[in-house]
Amino acid sequence: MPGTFLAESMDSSGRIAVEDGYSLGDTMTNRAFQWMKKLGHAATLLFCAYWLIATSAPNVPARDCFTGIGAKDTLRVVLGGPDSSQTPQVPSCQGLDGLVNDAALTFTLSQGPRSESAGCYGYETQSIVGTSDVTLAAAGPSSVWSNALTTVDGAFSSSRSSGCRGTWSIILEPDFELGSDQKVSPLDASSAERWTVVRSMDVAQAQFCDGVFSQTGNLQCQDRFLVQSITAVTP
Amino acid sequence: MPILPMAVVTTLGCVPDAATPNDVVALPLCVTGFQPNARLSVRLGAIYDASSDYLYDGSLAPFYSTPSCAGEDGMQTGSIVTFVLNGAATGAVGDSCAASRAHLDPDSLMVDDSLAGVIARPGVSIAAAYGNGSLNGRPTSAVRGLFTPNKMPRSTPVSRELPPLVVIRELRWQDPKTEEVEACFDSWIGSWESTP
Repeated sequence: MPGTFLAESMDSSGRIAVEDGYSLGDTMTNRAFQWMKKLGHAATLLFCAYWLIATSAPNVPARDCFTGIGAKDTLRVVLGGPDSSQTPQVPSCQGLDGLVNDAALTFTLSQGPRSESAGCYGYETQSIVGTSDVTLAAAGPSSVWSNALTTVDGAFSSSRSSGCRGTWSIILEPDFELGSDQKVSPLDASSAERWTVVRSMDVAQAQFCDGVFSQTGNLQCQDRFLVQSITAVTP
Repeated sequence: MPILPMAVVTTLGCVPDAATPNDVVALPLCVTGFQPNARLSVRLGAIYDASSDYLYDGSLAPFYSTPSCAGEDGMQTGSIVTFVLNGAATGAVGDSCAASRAHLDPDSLMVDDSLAGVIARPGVSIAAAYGNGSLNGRPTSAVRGLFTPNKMPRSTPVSRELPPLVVIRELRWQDPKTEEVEACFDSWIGSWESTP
């Protein structure tokens, strides 16, 4: 566990007990009680797992929200300008990873097993062409509650600025609420049927990005692009 | 499921597990190459954090947010600390190695080898000095750690890379009113006063 010194309690002499498994002045006085507590820990964990599953896991399969594309498909997404309808909470990533107005991203998508969720039956992103210095993490299903066509995480490490790196994620989703039975085609994306690409980065040490950011240290940035168009790419 | 037994089990499971000395075991040193009783004198340089000129290894800092100690124990940029190794390496069950136990010379706190907690990472964790005592009128525990994030303690620091030497210090005390444990933390880029 990261960290150095995990205090849990301090006795009357001022000695501090740490909770990461060792230390501190206390002695074991009742082994049976310790075992009971360990059993209690285990039982509690099992109970909590049962509780979480029983109370929060949706038992309905993710619904079909998307039409017009196959279970495996490749889409070319042309980014438009920033979504001015929403006030940015964090600074722009300034195109560090190549995502700027008019940039084209090519997503290779596939649908994995249908999960049980309250969200849409989304797609896993196998690859994205058009980004710079981004390495995608292993493909995974979309977030349980999401209406996104696809979401994917990755890592960014600048090839131009040593030490400029961080985590990276992207979401491709319709920019409107979907009705419970509504299906939309990403190929219909337009100014009338708005889709967005939201890309977020958590830059570990912004000062290493060579003047891109004015602040130093850890920095979160994000851009929300309106999509100009989405087209299917013929293999 | 019967409610009462469930409640008893749940309550038992929530009792914090008391740490015991039995959980501290002898381990190999994380960093070798220093004499068992070596005196390692390090000058504290710039603050080592995410705004540093060097690649920041955040795992050396607590995962919880802590303010700076603002030099209240005398450790601050420009000061010199000397770790006197005692050659012992004890740490937590499950760790693959331990930093060498050490004491600071001088130290306003009493050495307390019953304390533990410095992160143990092979090739990185050089020494850890634990202390207890009164600081500014309140009972305080301290951990002081010496690390080599780039695993080359005698190398020259290079901007945007992991530094060769880092000193960390965390102080903890109990607020007499709220009885909550409070903490402060700092870390610095270190440089040898004399190459060991």
